[in-house]
Amino acid sequence: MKGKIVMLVTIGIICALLTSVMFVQFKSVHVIEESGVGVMLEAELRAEYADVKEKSGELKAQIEETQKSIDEYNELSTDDTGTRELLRSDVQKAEMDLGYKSVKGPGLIITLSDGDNAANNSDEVVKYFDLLLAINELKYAGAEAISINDERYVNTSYIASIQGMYLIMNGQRITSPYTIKVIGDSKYLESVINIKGGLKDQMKSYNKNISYTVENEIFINKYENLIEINYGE
Amino acid sequence: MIYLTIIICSVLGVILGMNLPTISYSYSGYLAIAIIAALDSVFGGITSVLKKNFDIKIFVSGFFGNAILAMLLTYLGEKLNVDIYLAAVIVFVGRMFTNLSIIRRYYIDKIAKKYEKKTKMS
Repeated sequence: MKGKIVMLVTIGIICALLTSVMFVQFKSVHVIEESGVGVMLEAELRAEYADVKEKSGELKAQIEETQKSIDEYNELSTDDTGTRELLRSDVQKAEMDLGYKSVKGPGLIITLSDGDNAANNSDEVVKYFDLLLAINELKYAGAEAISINDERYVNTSYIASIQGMYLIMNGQRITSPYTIKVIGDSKYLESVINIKGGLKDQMKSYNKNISYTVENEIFINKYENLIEINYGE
Repeated sequence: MIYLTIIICSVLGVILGMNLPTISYSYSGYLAIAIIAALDSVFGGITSVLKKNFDIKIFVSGFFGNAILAMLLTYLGEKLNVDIYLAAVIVFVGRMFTNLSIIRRYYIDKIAKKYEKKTKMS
């Protein structure tokens, strides 16, 4: 009797499995035929070709531009003061890009902090990925300079969780509450925080606290450490 | 009882399969060869029932083993740039035909015998 039931169940499972897989396949083949992968492959290649072509055009334009600036340097090299001026403005721009210069401007001051029940519920603790998410979202909204607890966020910056106990950024330990200063278009920055499913919603869904103020002038400190380049050339 | 199980589970499978998401083009080849292998096992199982040497262990192991082996061979073939799945298709479909012909003969014999009995009786 028991053997019979086992057999029935096994055969039943196998029947269900076989028919379900068959129908998945039927459906997939139907979809593939409708969308025409055979044709699509060629179309895809065409699209890719167009893409590459466009990119090569862009690169050509870039080469031209670089050539132009080289010419400019060459031209100015006869005139010493001109070169110096040009170099200085280039260096200034590079420093700004790298975060080696303190900047001020309009933007937001955002405060993220652990939930009220964080001591009992580790879900309510602000994690490194919350901060990374915030940074990513803000960059998406066109943030020009970001700092967390006055630690400047630059292109080599990291936010790491040490054994899930505390966070370090740029080699410094940072703790809740996290004050994120960000310079950029306040309207864009605000909207990216408030958007449905955005930073605010994500924080609120885990009971973490988030608040922000719009400021006309924020001062963001420069990056204090050295960016070392040992491997890239 | 067994036919009822088969029908109910098949209907369940159809409903389930209709509601499952479709798979991507690159995997549908593997699934197809697995289905062929599984079908071969099913026909083999039916034949063995008719021959009265059906063993559920052999059936289940063949069902999954053949399907997985066929998929692995297809994968290997793709890596080697040889269409190994063609060999699998030929073997499985060939066996399916053999099994089908055994099933056909069995039922034809049965019906013929019945008919003979009837004519004798009358």
